[in-house]
Amino acid sequence: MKAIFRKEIKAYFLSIQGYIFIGVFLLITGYYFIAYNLMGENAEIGNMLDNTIVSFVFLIPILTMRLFADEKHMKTNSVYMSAPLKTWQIVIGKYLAACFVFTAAVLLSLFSGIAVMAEGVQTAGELFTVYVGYILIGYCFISVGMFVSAATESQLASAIISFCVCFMLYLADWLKSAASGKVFEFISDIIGVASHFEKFLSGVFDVTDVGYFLSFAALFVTFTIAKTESERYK
Amino acid sequence: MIEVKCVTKKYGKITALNDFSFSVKDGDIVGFIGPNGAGKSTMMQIMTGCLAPTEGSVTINGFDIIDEPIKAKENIGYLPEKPPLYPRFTVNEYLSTIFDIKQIKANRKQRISDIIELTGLSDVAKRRIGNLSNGYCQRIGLAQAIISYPAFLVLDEPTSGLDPAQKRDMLNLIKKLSKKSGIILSSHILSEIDSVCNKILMINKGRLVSFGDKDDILSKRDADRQKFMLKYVVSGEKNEVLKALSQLNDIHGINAYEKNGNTECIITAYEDIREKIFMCFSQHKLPIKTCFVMNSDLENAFLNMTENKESDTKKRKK
Repeated sequence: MKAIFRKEIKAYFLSIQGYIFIGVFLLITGYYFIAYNLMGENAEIGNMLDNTIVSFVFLIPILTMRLFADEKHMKTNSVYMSAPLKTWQIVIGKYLAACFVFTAAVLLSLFSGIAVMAEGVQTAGELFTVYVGYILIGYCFISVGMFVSAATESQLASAIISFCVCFMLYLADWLKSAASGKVFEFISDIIGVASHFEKFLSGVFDVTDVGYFLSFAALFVTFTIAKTESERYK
Repeated sequence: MIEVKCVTKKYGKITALNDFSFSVKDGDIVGFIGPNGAGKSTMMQIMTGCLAPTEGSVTINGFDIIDEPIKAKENIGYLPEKPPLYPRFTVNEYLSTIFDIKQIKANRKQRISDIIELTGLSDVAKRRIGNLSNGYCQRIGLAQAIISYPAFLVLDEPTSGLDPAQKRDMLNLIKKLSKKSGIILSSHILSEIDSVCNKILMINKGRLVSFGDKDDILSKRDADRQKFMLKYVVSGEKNEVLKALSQLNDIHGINAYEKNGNTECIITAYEDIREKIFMCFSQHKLPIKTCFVMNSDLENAFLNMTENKESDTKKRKK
């Protein structure tokens, strides 16, 4: 698993993908920080981050599209399929690599949070809570993107389908307000990832929401493991 | 030992492999031959764990590739038809990554250095793979297959895309490696299989046609079939050439035509009668400008066995 993790990290930074992801992510968070916090004179970093979650819809597919789809297209998947590795080691190694790059980007954007904390507006605990929730949402989107990559053989198809699925997950919260009925509410609660971030915005570290994020990510990682294993039996 | 027992592979309604069984022992170099689409690559992917069989089993040194994949795969090195290379990695970085992925318990630097030297990659070790020629890429592919010094190597067309000198080097390297590992090697070029392998495994339309020692397979040819096809370009008129050859009894058939003042003839015979033909032309003062064997023994055996099986199948259907 460590070998797969190291190999993917290397691949991200030997190609342009890692740099594009981090660069665009910092551009978007920087823009929102300036527009919302500095020029808008708003001290809440959480709301700024909440507005940037929409960027995950198109940024995270860039990160995840090459994880499996490119390997299948380039026929390099035989390296790990014929190696003495279990399928879950391969999948989790790749997942952790994508999460690492995402986390690195978020940590680099921490300057905005530190600036707000230095002004004494938010405490370190509140900041920590907000960023943990933010990162966990990213991990959920990464798990979805990785599953889509495992289900396709083209990076472009993977990116487009991931974008559509992530967009649906992002819009799921609006189902609650747009349509009435217990069914819509239930669906929105299950797939509406962003709605579980609300308590984090208030500095509340709710274990049920953390459990939701981790379960969501684990579910799609499991789907990916099953899909990858099923490739042997096609 | 690799043991393949009753392996069948189906893709929906299509049967890619049908009831395949054979075994490969340490020290064997098995030439895996068959027409395009016969199922060679599918069989190789099943042996290396990239695909699972629909029925049957593959065991490597006693470990089943599906039930005990980790232990089985520790004994296998695989070079697919297209080497699985990462273009942005250097050769050193790539082999280091493979070293980690295969969880090799050895000194990393020493092992990579040995493999680089063995496969002739010393000059390009620090260069990016994407900038290297096809020949080097094939060698890097072979390097990743042998880096763990596996008990068995499965090589899918290892000389594909190489020039004659590179092919020669690759085949010499394979012969060297056979002292440490059993090898299963597929190729469309039967002369390569002939020169390197001691056992032949023939496949046609997903079925095992023949498996055994090379000499046994070659001796199993149908006696009524032609063994040799010889092409001669002789300085002289067609009638003179035909008159000379008519004195030989061993000739099965002749096809002759005049071209640029010479006579080109294709002679088919049951045995190697090149010496008799030489003496005959010499006697009739007909200089031989060119002479070569059009089919090798192995080529004949392959064509005979795959065509035989097809015609047998057609007869049964009728």
